[in-house]
Amino acid sequence: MRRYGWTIPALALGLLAAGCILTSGQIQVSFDLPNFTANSATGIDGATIDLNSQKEYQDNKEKLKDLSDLAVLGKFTNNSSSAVNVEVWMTTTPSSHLTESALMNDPTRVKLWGPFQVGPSATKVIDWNASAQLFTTAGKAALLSEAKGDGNFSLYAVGPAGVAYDFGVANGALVLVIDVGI
Amino acid sequence: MRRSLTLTLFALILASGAAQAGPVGDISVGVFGGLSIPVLQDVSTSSFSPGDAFGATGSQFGMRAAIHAIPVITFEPYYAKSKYKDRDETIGGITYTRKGFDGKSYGLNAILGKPEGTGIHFFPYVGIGKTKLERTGQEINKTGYNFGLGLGISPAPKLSVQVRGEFAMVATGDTSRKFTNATVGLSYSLASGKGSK
Repeated sequence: MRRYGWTIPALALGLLAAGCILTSGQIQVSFDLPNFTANSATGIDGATIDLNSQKEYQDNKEKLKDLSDLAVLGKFTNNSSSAVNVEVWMTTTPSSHLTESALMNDPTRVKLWGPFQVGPSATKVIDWNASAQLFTTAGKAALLSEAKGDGNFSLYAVGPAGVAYDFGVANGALVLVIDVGI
Repeated sequence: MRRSLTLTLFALILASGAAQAGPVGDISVGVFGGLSIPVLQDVSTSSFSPGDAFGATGSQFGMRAAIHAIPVITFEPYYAKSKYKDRDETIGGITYTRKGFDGKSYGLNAILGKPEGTGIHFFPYVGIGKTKLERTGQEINKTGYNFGLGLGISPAPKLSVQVRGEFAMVATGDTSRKFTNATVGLSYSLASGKGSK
């Protein structure tokens, strides 16, 4: 005991020294999105998000370490007679583009999510698990940067470039699970 | 008063573990299973109540071998699998389901004393290992740490029943995914080392 008895308390103390690792958690923050419409002929809608508008984010912003889980949720309605692959793009500075070409000319644009396919003239509620898989690496990094930065950016739902599309998104939400040190 | 009671209890646990030191060279193998509960994971702070700190109860099972290689300390390699429940949540008027994690972990515990042995005895332990947590769209494969307290009872020669309560976490950078585990295990002594009866 005299020779080895110190081992367990020493290991336990080492574990406790990890401090912040122990006193941390994953907090879920949901942002309701306005209804989007996107039409290759008539134009697109965007939504500017201010993460600071959510108390949960505001309370934990300084302690935010990482994004643990993400999802774009909502009900997607394809008004076209051909299938559409929906993509969500963000501009890291707030914007109000009305056309896909204007969005694609924005130097701060990043593809965030997608493609999510909706069949011809169909309405589909996305599955959370499927949505979590559709985030791009660049999109995750941009979202983390925004979450750690000013928290102000714009989101757009569009169809693939050069293809006719007409769809809407209702009951949309952006869900972030943030890793915070407590 | 409460502080001295806690210190006394801690000293008794350490003494109990040390008293079960036993002979060097003993090896036993066993299986275990029980409950695993996520702690402070995916919580909503806007409607937080203390009960929300604990997620839906999952399960854990695995196998381990206790090797009494040096006096006082028993080394225990382990392998465990865990499964956590799916979570339903209504967002924007639509109910969604987020899949729970499936976990696999392996590692090494250092136990003060021996988990096996005669009579009823307590044994504290700490451990380190590798844990992989997976669910659709998310994978965490990081170093895990755990510490806990076990209660050992020997109902028959070479057999030991152990009840353990532990706190486990998977380090994810500056933060961690945390769990509390409560398991029951059964071990069988394979070989007795030098000095065993």
